[in-house]
Amino acid sequence: MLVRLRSWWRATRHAGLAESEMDAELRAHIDAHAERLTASGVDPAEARRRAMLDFGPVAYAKEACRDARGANFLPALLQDLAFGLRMLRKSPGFAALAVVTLAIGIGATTAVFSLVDGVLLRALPYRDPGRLVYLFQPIPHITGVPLEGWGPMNADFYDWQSQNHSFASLALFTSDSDNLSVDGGAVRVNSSRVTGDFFRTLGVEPALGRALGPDDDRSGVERVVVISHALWQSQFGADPHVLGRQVLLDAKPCRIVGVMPPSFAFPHGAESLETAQASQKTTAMWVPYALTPQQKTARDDGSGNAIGRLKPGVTVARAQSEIAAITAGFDKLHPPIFQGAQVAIRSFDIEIAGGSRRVLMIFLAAVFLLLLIASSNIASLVLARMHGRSREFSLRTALGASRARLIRQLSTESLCLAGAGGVLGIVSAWLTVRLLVHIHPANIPRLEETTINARVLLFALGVSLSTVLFCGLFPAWSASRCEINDVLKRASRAVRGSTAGLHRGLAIGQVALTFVLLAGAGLLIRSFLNLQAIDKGFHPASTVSLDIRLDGRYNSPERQVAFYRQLIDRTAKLPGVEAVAASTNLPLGGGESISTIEVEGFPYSDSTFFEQRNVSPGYFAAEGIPIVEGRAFTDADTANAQPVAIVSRSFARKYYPGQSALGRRIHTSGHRVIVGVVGDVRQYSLETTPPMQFYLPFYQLGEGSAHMVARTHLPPAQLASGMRTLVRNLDPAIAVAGVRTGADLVAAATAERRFETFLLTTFAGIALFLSLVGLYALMTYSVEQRTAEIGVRMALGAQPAGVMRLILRQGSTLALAGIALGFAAAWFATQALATLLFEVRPADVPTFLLVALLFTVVSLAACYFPARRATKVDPMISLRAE
Amino acid sequence: MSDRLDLLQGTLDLLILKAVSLGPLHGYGVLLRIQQISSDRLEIQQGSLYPALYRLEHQGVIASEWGESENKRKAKYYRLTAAGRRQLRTEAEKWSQMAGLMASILSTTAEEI
Repeated sequence: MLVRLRSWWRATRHAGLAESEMDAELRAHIDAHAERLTASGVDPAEARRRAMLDFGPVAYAKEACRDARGANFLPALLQDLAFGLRMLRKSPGFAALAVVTLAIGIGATTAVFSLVDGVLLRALPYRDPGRLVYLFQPIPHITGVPLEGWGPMNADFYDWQSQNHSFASLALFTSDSDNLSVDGGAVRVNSSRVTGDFFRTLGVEPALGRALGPDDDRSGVERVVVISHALWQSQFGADPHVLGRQVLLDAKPCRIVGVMPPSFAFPHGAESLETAQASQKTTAMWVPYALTPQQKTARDDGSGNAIGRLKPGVTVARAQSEIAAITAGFDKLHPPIFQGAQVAIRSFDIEIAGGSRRVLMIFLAAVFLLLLIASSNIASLVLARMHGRSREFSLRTALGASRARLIRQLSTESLCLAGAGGVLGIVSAWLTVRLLVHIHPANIPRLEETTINARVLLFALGVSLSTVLFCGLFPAWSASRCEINDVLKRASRAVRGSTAGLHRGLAIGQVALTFVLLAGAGLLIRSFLNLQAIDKGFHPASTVSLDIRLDGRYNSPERQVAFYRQLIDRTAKLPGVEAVAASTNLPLGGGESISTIEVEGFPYSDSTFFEQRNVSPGYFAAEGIPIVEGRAFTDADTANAQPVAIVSRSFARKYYPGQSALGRRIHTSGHRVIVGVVGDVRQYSLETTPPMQFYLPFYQLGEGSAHMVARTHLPPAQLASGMRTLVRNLDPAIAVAGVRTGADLVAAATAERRFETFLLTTFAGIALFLSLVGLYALMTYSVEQRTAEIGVRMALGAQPAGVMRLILRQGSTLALAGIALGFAAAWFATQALATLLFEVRPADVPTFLLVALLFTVVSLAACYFPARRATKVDPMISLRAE
Repeated sequence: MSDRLDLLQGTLDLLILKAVSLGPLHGYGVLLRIQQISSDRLEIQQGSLYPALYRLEHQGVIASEWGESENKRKAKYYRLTAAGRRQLRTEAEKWSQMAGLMASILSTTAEEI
């Protein structure tokens, strides 16, 4: 092998020398032969002639010699390349169309693959991430809480920790936020309370200093914290001497002991409980949980989520059955409402990316259809060109080119196309990924970290090569099959029959695939429109909201109410503020509090849940929630006044149908009289029907953390800076965070759907463009092929309108066949979208018909131009051309 | 010329190996040597000799170097390499087995069955 390679190299590298040596050698042979003949008495001139004759054709021998040494390979390749490029330059329209089509196909596929790679395939940045799991403790009879909301009760967690044999370690963590004061300025940072084994479980080493350990996780020891790389850079200027620095966390001193590496921000994105809350994207600070002995034994309280590292060789199923057995042992100790607890253990990769897996797979399927459409487009373009060049191929075959040689030349041409398309495709994929990362909603975890890496490039290469195989080799093979005699005798029409069927099949398939994508996009667009038209129950336009969290110094309802009341009164005096209020939860603001209550006159049910929020008097005016009956809260609804409540319309309808709810009583935080009924609000998600809701007076109960919301025509930034000044004047250790407009909240709540709709619609649009180009190319080619026939028809008296009809009929037959096929395919394929749809069924006939109509119209337009060209055929010229 | 035989497919390579195994030869010398040892009974297309030589050299079973011919001309001499010697041995063995087999098959008479 090596010898051959060396010989080939020598032959190629020293081509000139090898050539002249070969010349000399052959000449010497002929000379020697001639001399020998002369010596035997032949006349020298005759001897020379005989020697040449005996040797045979010299050029032929030389060519065979070059082949024998492999010297021909590279020159032939270069020749093919040069020839291929020349052929492509001669038809720039074809080349540009093919390269752009390829770039679109490869670019889109690569971009989506890089998302899948970034989210699903890339290893998590923890040691041995395959052994990391989440542990949930759902209670089946309490519905409406996502699995992620079911952390274990504190005592349950510590029982798991002490009794299990499946885990190397277990840890609890929370997703909180705190006021951090550095050098007098307060900022809100996302923080996580963690138990002692948290960092050991994840297996992450700090970049600076040390991580937290079990010794830190005790009450009564000095408070220490570990900060994220991002916080280190933004608040501490990447100071290498940050270790040991004192900061105020919620007005309490603590010392920084470590800085984590840049990749570490757990919990973040979908890993935290409050996925909808954009501010919960990354965690900046880790604080020892330091639960008190009383808290550790609580069976009715648990505010953390549990993670664990499995021992080597232990499966998730085995761990689950062991933990379930431990849980069964203490289940009776739970308060009745929490009894019947189950255990669900999920591995990290499933839990983190699980929700987006389906969406990503749908994207991948859609983009694969797109690639198929692009490929068949190229195949049909190449096929059309092959026919145009069939005379050339016949001539080459007649001159002695072997079929393999023809295929090699055509493949080289396809390779040129694929190379150009691939490079353009990777560039466009890179741009697309940048764009997608820019507009992506926060709920696809790790999407923001997506890049084009080696694996993605390898994928792009594979896609390009397989496209070449599909688009180049196949038509090349079929074209090289042509019979020389047939073609030379009967001109180019001879080969039409054999591949025209294939060509039409490609066009029909393409239209069908495009229809499937269009139908899917149509369904998503309808869902999106349905969602836009939905009655939210509140008016988010011209509202601004922000978050405030009071620390432990505000340890009584009186102090909390006093703070918020002052802030609200002062804010209301700011010019341009129409209404301002505090609330424990904001519509679409992320987070939810649900509770059970007793409605007087009805038996208590521990499985009927109500959304609860505590609001200050101006809340309904600020949020634009209509008051249906009775009154809103007033400044007089304080702790000293009569306990009151306001309920939602569906609450009133359920319990007091046809009657007034006013004056009725409910029991929660004491006996309360219903003083008002307000409209239902889509609080948690725009896509779910709101459950029953009730409101309690903020000024009666108080609360440490609250959202402030103001109805104003001021620019959000101006209002925020005004309120920030007011807050600082009230208490400099309190930070203002999460400034958002109502429009921001709605945009965030619809971001995922907008993203999906945008992406699928874009794919469908590109697919439509490609298949129209394909149809146009096919019809143009077909008109060219039929020029003679059309000429004859016109010579015999056919009118332009008749010719136009002829071509349009041919085109629309193809399109309609494709649409019919696509209709049937979409009927089944759109079932995969079912979970993504909102108030529209997967096989929605009106959507499908609309898509079919649209498609028919545009495909007729695509056929119109070739058809018009057909009517311009001059019978004389076309007949002479034959 | 009726006693001259056309070359069997694939035998030219073996003949060349055998010819150069008897001592280095230039291309024309290979032709003469084969004609000489076959007593002029083999018909060799002179033009096909060189592709075969180049192929064998490409395979590494023969090697070449430039030298001076008997009548003081520059000529390219071919000689057998170690790999070539091995190949010649195995090919020759195969050939004689095949020849013996063919001979015995073809000489079979009805009585022997």
